[in-house]
Amino acid sequence: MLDVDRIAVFYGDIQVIFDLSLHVGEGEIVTLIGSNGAGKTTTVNAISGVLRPRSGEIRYRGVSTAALAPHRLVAEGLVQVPEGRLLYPGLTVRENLKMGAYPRASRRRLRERMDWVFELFPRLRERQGQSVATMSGGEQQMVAIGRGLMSFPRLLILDEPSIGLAPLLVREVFGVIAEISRNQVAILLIEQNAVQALTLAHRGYVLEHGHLAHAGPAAELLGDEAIRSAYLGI
Amino acid sequence: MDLAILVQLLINGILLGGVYAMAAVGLSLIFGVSGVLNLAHGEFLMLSGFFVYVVYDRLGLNPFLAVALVAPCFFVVGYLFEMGLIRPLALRKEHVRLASATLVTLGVALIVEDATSFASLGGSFEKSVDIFVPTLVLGTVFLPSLKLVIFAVVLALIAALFLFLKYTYIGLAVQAVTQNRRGAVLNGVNTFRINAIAFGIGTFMAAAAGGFEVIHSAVAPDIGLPLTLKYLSIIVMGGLGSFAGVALGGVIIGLGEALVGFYNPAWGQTVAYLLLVAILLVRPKGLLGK
Repeated sequence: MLDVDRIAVFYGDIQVIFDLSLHVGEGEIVTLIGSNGAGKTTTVNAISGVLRPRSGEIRYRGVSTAALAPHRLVAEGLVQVPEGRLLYPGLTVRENLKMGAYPRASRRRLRERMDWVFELFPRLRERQGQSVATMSGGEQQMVAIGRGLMSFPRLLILDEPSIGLAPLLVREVFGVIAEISRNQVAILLIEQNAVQALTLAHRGYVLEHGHLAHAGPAAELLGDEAIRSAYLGI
Repeated sequence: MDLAILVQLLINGILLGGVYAMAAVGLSLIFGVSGVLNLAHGEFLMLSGFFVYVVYDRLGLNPFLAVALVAPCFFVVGYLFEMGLIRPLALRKEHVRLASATLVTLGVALIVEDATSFASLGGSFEKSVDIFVPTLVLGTVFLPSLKLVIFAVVLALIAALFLFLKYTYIGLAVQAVTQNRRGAVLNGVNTFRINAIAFGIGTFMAAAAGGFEVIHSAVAPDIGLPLTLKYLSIIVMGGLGSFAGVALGGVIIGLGEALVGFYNPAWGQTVAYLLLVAILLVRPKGLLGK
């Protein structure tokens, strides 16, 4: 589904990502963990085409993404739910979701898709006419994930979906991610909340100062002494 | 002041403010979507006024028909203007991009003004359309029917823009880009295209205003930049990002000009800026700014 092949990413002259490779397979949940400033969001932005790697290659469904503008990638089903949500504060929940279905192919199946999102997040159905600016952080995160689902993603990248949420809500969000995964959507989950991310994911990558530090099956990483003390706070 | 005169001035002011509001809404739309302050906005208005005059003068068309013909062409002008001159700056750093884009629009403004002046050499610089419509009389108040018709069309166009933004996918995307450009990119929006569409619509609004300007008053090559500044005042006065605020600002400036201009036409133009300063002192974010 997604192959990141030895990319280097720079901000101006400053290198942020060094020789990073990762892979997300069909139907997989893969998590990328690491502390603040490790380069997780930079990696996500490179995959979404917002930033371009200076060297290396990113392939989505076997095709290099180098020549594809970000909005084209979305139409192809590579969808990012960004950190900070980036919602449209002046629009209603329904309008935000509608914008999620912007690519032409998904507009045709708008109703069907919105019904599914409302099934995943019943609270959004009740509040569909409400402006998102007036909603709580948890509800806004639901809108952000729902909006990402509206364009029929094949690969959904979730950047810190649990940030700033109360524990109960985190559990709800992770439950929904599992449910999304059961619908043939590959998932790349970026998290600081390493325990929960590794518990949910099949495989994991650990990023440290822009370098890949560890990679492996999630259960293995969870059991690794060095990772436990550095990232899991156990 | 005689009450009848006051009512008369209020009516004139509101009708004048409507045209201001429409052109200012166009400028505000462009600014909101692209972040670019389009200093050529008033020039497109003036240019459209000239074309409406030419179509009316040479082809003998009804001036309103001429506006209906000319203004939509300015959608294309605005669209191509963005594509050709603004978009190439897109890869610059944000503050460099905005500064250079604003300078580009200033350059275009000066070129359009000079070119129009040259084209009018040998004739009168000021163009206006002679059209006679009987004035309606209500008691002691005269209703300038020409301006009433213009006001109705202006209201219809502003309403149409509102419906477009609210109920079409492209309109929704225009709002989305205004509110969160990065979010819109990640929703699959081609934000360049939305920029161009915003320039197209905004320039169309200016062009329609220019057509009405030449019908109820006159246009001359040098009115562009002062008008742009006036629209800018209206936008800031109303509150950045609020169309209702911009419409309100337009009407307030129109009223101010009509009332003050009755006593002293020279001060009529200045009152816009005095009103702006006064309102900003009380409400720094503008009348309806958030």
